[in-house]
Amino acid sequence: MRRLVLRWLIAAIPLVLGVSVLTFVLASLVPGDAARTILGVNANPQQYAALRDQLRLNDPLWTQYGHWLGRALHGDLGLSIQSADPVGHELKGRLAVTLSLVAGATLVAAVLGVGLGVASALRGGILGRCVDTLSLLGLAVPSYWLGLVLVTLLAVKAPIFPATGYVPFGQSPVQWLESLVLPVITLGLGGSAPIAKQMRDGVLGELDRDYVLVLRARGIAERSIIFKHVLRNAATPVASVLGLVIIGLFGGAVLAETVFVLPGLGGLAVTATSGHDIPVLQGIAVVFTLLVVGVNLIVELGYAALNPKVRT
Amino acid sequence: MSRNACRKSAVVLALATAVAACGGGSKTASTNTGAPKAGNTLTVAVGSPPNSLNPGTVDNAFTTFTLLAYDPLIYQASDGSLQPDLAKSWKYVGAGNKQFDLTLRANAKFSDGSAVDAKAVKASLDYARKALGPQAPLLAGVTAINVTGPLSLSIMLAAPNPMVPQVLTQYYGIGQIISPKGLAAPKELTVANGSAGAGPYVFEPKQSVAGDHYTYLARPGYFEPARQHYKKVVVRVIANPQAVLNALKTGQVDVVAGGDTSTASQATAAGMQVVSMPFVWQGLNLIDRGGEVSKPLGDVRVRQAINYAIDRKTVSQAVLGKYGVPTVETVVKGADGYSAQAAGKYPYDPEKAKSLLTAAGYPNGFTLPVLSVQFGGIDTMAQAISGQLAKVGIKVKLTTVADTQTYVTDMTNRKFPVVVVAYGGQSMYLEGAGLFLPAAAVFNGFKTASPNLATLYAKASAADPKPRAAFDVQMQEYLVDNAWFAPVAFSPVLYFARADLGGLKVNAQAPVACPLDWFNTK
Repeated sequence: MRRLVLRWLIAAIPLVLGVSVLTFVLASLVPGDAARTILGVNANPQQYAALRDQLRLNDPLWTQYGHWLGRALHGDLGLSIQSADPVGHELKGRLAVTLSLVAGATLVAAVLGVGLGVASALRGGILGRCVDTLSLLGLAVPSYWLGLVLVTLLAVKAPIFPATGYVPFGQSPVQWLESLVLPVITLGLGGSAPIAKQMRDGVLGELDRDYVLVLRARGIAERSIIFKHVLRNAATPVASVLGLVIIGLFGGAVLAETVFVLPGLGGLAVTATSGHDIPVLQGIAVVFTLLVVGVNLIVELGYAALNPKVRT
Repeated sequence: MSRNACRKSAVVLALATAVAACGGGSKTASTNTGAPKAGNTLTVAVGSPPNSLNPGTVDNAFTTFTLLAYDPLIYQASDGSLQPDLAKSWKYVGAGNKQFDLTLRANAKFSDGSAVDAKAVKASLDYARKALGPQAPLLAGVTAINVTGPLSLSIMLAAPNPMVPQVLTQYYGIGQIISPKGLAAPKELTVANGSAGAGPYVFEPKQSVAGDHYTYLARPGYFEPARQHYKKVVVRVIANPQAVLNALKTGQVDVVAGGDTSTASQATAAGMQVVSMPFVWQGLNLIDRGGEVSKPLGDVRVRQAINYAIDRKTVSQAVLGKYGVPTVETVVKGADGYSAQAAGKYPYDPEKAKSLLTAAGYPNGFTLPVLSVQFGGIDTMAQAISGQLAKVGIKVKLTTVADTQTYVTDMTNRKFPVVVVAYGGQSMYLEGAGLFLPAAAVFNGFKTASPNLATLYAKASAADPKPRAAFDVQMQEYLVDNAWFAPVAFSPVLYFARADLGGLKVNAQAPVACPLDWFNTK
């Protein structure tokens, strides 16, 4: 297990470097620059040139990247061009929001997906068809639209949950929960669809296996067969799907954060992109890459726990 | 084009005039006239995060984020009048608007407890002159700032400038005074570190998240507690028009500053106050007035034909809806420089346009390269204008760029003879430096110069307010008569607010409302 963790961590280094280079190059290719964003279009050429010089935007691209990398290796992600605050400070404040959102959505997606998948496989019939239909709907309905509908129904027409905003857990746990309910449902519903489908197919596949027949012949209780054997075996591929779903949720968080005006990393990525704030974009890319690596590692560990064959 | 949402006019006109100026039958003021009641929290929603929290480098469009914590020398009230703030009195000394004297109030202190005195004000203004902020050019003509006493100072100018009082108001960051302690480390005037002003509120970093919400707490010891209508003011950044409307409907937000025209009717239907003022004109900037790139444009008759060829009423309604106000002028009715005579200059008359084109030697029209940008609805306006010009034979070859940097570059490299722009919120006088004088680096890309205009501008620069108003009108009439531009319509600045909020007013002289004026009436 230790070797597995070590292997992942080593693999993460070139990945983070590669993503940071790619982000830097792509962000630099976006037309416009930070100096113009800061000064607006009314600034005269002298002002513009002076600020470009101050921001070191005239340096060659690789020099700029080198400066960033040198600082980043010492734990300094630089200063945000827009806010002039340390990038690390900005990310720290927003990471908790995105993690809360994705964790909640993962929970919703997993519970709903597994529950519906198992119910569909075991009961079949109308329920099975309903699950299939819901799965398709979950995939087809844009989360943006779903979010707006939920806000209209459960925040504006029936003021049960807040329409926008985020309350930190430390400030009020109840309000924190309330502020996350609608965005978590918005994000989680879409994620539950592939899990439900995989779970249903997995359980049906396992139920057809010989060992289930043998267990039944030995008089083992059906509940025990399902929970101790079938679900465990069916869960192995679901763990992989869940990993992919979680990674997808980080991407979906950008939209959810926009609709519900949550101060997360997704919203920061949007404003940093439009403001040509490359240090912030770099920081976000690094954090997201590390999160993806982390999620994959957890999935791998979970996979290993479920399937001893992959532990070696 | 200007992102500046706050630039103000110079001449104070009657509020009634300004109200009459507002088009579309929309309101220019809150209907609540009750006395202010103490409030706990005011939450204001805006569409974009600020470029800076440092008054020396903040863009005019974002002074809402700084004016709560940094008092200005002079306060522009919601009726457009200039009121004492950190300065208790001010005046131009001698003839020609070349020396401006200020006397400060004695009882003002910065949030760190130090006194607001002449030395501190000089230091703040000197910093603003040198900071690489968007407003620094407004103080470019200052040669020296002399401390003449503990609470008095003189601003010396190289050339006449009648706009000094205006640029020292809360709508210009350079007029918001930073404490000596703040100036010792101006790069730390950020979300993480806090503010260093003498305003009624102090920025609270612990309750703020950059790009999302900014919290200001009422400051004990402020010299005029009556101005602190709330214990706390939160400025939230909500870009999505529907999300901000939902926040307003559900009471999460009290005021939306810079509301979207697409959701204005929903706000009205929900019982919210909708206050608006025509603000930024959209239309054509005919920059190649010498015919360098497009020979036809060198002929004033062609430029006038373009103005006659545009059905402003139809385009305004189609592009901006009921909040659009058709115009041939660069300033709104009620603002300084507005000319009733020029307003009727170019009625929609395609036949007249064709006859002018024929007289100029272009009976079959010509091809006109036009630059546009995907920003602020300019590209939509560009399409509408192209259709109008096609009807008189002018074939617009439209180039639409995706970013403002390319837009600015192409506007100033003599590549395009015509640019679709959105520009406004400035007084007629300030439009000189920003829009039509050779010094207007961005918006006068071909550096067109006119001796007549230069003479009028010089006279306006040195004149007292009353005679300057006449020069401003003459400059506007010159621009319209000579068709330097083909403005189409003013787009509005919109405010949505809950029904019981008071003090929300806009007019032609003060088109941008200030959160310090707002209060609870219940």
